[in-house]
Amino acid sequence: MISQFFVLSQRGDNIVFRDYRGEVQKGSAEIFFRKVKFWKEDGEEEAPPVFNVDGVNYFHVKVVGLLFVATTRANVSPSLVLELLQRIARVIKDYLGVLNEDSLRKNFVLVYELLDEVIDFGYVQTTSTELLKSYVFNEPLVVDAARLQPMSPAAIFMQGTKRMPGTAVTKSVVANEPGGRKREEIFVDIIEKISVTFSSSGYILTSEIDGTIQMKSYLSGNPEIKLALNEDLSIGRGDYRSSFGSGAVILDDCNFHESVRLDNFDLDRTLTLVPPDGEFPVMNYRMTQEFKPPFRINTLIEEAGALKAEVILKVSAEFPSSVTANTIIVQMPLPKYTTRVNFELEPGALGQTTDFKEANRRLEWALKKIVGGSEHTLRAKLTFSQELHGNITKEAGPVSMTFTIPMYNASRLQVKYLQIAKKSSTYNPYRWVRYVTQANSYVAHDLCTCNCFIDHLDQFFSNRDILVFNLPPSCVECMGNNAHARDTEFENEPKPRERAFVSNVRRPQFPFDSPVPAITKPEKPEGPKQLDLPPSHHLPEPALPTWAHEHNSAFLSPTEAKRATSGNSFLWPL
Amino acid sequence: MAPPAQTNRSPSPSQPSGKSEVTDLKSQLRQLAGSRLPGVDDSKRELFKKVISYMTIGIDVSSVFGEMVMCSATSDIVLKKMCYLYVGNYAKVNPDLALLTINFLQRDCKDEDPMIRGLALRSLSSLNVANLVEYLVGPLNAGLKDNNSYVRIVAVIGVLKLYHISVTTCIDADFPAVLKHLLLNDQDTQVVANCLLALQEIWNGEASTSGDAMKEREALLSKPFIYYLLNRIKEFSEWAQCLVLDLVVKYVPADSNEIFDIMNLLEDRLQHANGAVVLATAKVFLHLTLSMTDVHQQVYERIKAPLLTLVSSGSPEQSYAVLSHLHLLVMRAPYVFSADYKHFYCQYNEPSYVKKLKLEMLTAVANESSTYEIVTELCEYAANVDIPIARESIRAVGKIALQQYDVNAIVDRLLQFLEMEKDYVTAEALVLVKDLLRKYPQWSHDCIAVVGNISSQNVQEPKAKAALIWMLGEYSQDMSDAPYILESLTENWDEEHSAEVRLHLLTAVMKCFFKRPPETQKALGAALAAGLADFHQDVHDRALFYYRLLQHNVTVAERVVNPPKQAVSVFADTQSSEVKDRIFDEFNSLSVVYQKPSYMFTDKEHRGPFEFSDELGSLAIGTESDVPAHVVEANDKDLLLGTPDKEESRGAGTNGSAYTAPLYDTSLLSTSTQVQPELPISNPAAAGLSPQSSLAIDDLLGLGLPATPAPTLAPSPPPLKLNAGAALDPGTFQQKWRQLPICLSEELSVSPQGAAALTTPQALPRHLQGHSIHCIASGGQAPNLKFFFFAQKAEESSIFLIECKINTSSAKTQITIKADDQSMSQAFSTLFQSALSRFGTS
Repeated sequence: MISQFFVLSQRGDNIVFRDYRGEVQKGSAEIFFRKVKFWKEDGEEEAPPVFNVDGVNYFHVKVVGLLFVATTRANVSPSLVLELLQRIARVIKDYLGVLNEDSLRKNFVLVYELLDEVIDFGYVQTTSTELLKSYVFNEPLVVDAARLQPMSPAAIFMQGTKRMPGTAVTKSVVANEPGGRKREEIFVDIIEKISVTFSSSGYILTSEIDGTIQMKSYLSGNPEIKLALNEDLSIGRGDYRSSFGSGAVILDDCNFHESVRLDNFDLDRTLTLVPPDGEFPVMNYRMTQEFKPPFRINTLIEEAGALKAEVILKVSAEFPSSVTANTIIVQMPLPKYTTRVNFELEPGALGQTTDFKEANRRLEWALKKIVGGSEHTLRAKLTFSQELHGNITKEAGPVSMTFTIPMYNASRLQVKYLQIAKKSSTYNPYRWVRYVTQANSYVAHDLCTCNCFIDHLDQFFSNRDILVFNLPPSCVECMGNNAHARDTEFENEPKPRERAFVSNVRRPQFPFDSPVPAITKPEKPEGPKQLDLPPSHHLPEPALPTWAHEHNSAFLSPTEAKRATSGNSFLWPL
Repeated sequence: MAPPAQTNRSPSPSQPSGKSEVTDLKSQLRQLAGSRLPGVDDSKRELFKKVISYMTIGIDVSSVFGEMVMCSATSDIVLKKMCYLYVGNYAKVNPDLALLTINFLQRDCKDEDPMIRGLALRSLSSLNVANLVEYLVGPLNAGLKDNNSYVRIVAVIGVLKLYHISVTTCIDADFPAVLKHLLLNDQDTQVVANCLLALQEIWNGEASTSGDAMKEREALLSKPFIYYLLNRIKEFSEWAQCLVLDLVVKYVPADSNEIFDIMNLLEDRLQHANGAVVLATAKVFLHLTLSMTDVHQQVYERIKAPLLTLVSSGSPEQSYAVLSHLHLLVMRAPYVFSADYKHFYCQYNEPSYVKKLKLEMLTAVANESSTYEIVTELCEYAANVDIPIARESIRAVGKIALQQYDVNAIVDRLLQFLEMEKDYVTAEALVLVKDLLRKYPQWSHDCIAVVGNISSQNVQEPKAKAALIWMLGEYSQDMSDAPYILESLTENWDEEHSAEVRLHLLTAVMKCFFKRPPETQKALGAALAAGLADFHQDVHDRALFYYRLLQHNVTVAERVVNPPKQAVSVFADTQSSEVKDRIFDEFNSLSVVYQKPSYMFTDKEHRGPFEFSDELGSLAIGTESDVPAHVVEANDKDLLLGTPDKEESRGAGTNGSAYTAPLYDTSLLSTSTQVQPELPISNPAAAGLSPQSSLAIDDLLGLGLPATPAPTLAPSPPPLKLNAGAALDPGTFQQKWRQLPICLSEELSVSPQGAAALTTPQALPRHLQGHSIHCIASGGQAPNLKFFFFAQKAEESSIFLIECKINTSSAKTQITIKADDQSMSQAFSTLFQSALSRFGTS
């Protein structure tokens, strides 16, 4: 139960304000904004999504720079309210096509219309774009999609390609195309965010993929859809990176959208659903299985005299040359006393920029694109104002990296085919299946300047750079630590077959020239992997002694009664 | 005729109040109001939009109310909706003008388009004007019977709105009964969900005054109804599923088979993409299995993966909400998560509120096998540019060290921190080394070698400085220049701003003096002189105390100031286990995010829409209390939390006690039935002490039969008389209740008449009032009632406090008495019983 809902711009202006219960004072938006803007509590710089001021609980989520806020005095479920706020943002985006301050301001009446139906007296009624359609009468005023900020990772598909239906992802679910006809199409995006931490010796400390299969349907008449995933997909709980090398895609865990039916999932890994209008995640999954990271980062820091040091950063793209990563940024914090940095890019470097952000002592190296299989190196000469104490590697780093790789996915999870069940043979809507991988947290701890990494020198300098090392007598990283030994072991391990990129199934090309054809249903795989899904259960309903005797029959239908007495082998107790 | 234009202008141009714009709008609207020209709706739309945008940014446009209503006669639904929005916003401040809208809203409520009917009904019920409610009853009644589900959905919420505007109108029109009918019969699940939430709010509000409402509220938790909802749970929207699950948490299944059935049924809810559904399901699982230790354990294992998935999918805000819950579970059962520690590693781009939670979780899950890796990871954060997180990380390393795993390696790490020469790192590390030495004095040799190298000039933070000084004092025999460092610190006494540091310095110099007198004498003299002259009271007093102690006897002083110490084995936990349990009870609520139980941050009436399972949450105020009601209200939550019996208070709703209850009940019942006839009969005297009854009680308490025939022969104690006009404010009650020990705690029986009379719980306080025993707070719901009473001894200030828990179905009472004058408690108990025994008979 919430009391108020409002949307604030970055400057704190009310764009939309709705009071549902009148329990919270009118000035709440200002109180909220001041609190968030000048947050200083427990030494934290950033306000948490939920906080309490004078008995009022403020919830907020940030979407494209806007603050979606709910207030309440009740002790509600924080997850529910935050989920709701996120969902409201998504519904608004479905209707407006583009969500930003401009489109919100232009369409605030439509937004009020939506809000009235989404929440009544503080209680959520519905957040289904589909259901809301019949209650909403305002036509969205379309804003220029060209200069919008991306809201979802799928927005990258709109970058700079004319052949992509750029308007599609920014198209309102209610607006018609010019000509009054709606284009029948459906988008399936496999979006993966990867987190990798490399140790200072290049060993992978942690790696995780958080993926979403996101769908956006513009199909009329709500046909049923069948989505087939890898047949060898298995879902198991396994401990952190326990299984490796089997070649199968093993997800740690996943969850599904309400509309997804898993009737055949155990059998042939297909998901059946009637996609509601608007954008929604069909499935979220999480994977800690070993995978080949798309980039290797190598760092070398070397002291060159009392007030000087040299940093060498090398990024190697370990994915096929048919794939290109874009908007790559490599960052590295530098020692506190760094005053000047001279950069030296590789000869003939294109689309690369470097910067030394003096305010937070950070080196920034931006690359427009990196083609698979290539390597790029940056040298930076640092000048300090004071002599450094101790180990320079403790003062600089870690190196972090952000990037986006379209048409690449690290997990090898695939949509094998997408079937649309509709009787007519002429009905052949556009089907777009797109893959994208983004860096969530891609970090490499610095290399220490000592013996342990000499072993890695060859991998480090393929272009035969000659360096002189000042080796410190001891190194934290190697002391009493067998990490180094483990590295070598790891290197000797057989590498997983590289099959992520070659597949006999036709994969969509990027950019698309034509929609992906539906691939005919494959034979059922033998020996399906069992998913740990419980059978559907039903509780026997006893008669209602105190409740409406005359309606007993309504409570216990014959089918339920039958089910009630049937099978009793349940998952619980385990 | 028109007033001069200036009067309408805003007085200061710099502060746009939009007054002139509003006047413009007003005149334009007026022009359009009567117009029937084609295209007029479009111009109206534009104007309406302007009005609403002013409304949004906070400009008062209530002055155009009349014009808006005039313009609302339209068939354009977009216009209508804008008008409804406007009217809903301003009706409350313009009750007279709101009357104007009634007409067209009522007409729209009968429109043939269900959309319009629904919208009009929603607007009508949102007017929120008390004297217009009479116009609302008819349309609501029609709406609840409408054949379109949209209208019914709106109407049900309309009833709830009416309840908030005028309780009596809502109850008199018998709306709850209609809602109940819909709840059980409507085909549309959203109607059912809305009925459920509306009835919860209404019956919750009524339960304190009406027994019927209390029963109805309980009926929502009956097995048939819960099953009815559970079997249809997938038909409900995801939000309504949360509502249902919240209700199911309060249901008490009869046996373990029922528990497993429910869990099997809800199992697939854990795979839902909506975090709110998953958490609500997790709460059901956790609470159902509270009494089944091994299954409870399995539940942790089962919900772990879905929660971890939720943390990594979704926005940072959503994952924060889930992570907070995971944090709670990790803190309760760290061993379940010990293999998952890598999930709690921080990512560099995470907001610090997430990192902080993760650091605490890492600390908790560290065990023998993972400590090394976790500490290595934490050390990376310590070098982090994010200083608060770097500090937290160092503290985390220290905490892990104190957990006793692999101390050896950790000490090395900590000592490396000291060498990092970042002032905040050194500061945090010093504090940790101090704590470490208090627990593991055997490490002193290694630590001291490093600490000795730290220049005190580089340590500025008071906490770190105090830690350093403490170590200098404690280990001055091992640090060759300790006396000289202390001496130089003493010389800079005036520049030391923190009293804490100065206090530590005094003590350290003393300790050092006992170990190395010749070298320290000078410093000691200076420190004592400076301390005596110190303006800070504590510092001054401590200096004086040391001075006199030394004057008295140096060896005694040493025994006082520097006695041999035992290593600290466990550092006190900051949060009591009671508070933690309470937060766990409130799983899937803000309590988890704030890490505080709800009474610490919410007003009572907002604690939850359906909090009745929680006895404390639904406490009503004792009507017989002499104290103004609002004072009690403000305090009773704290007051009741002072009660020592956590188990009891968790009672009714959760099944934690439900499974043990039957055994306990029967044994009690048998004793009380034996004694029962005795009490009323053998207690004819009014306030006097009856020997027989005290004998009976002794027997009841198992104190042994009176071996001596004392009771009859013993000089009877002075009869206890109570002050009829005693007064006590809840604050004092609460304080006393916390401070005083329990004098007496016993189980008694209530006469059958008494139990019958308790159908109106307020009768008991009224009855006891006649015996000069006053009620200060009461609550619970039948059959479990709870009262707090107090009484004052006549002509004395001695107070008795009584907690009285009555179970009306088993007719037993558990009383706990606390008293200022403990010698009188037995007498008072007898008096209380005799008063109680006559309850219902008079």
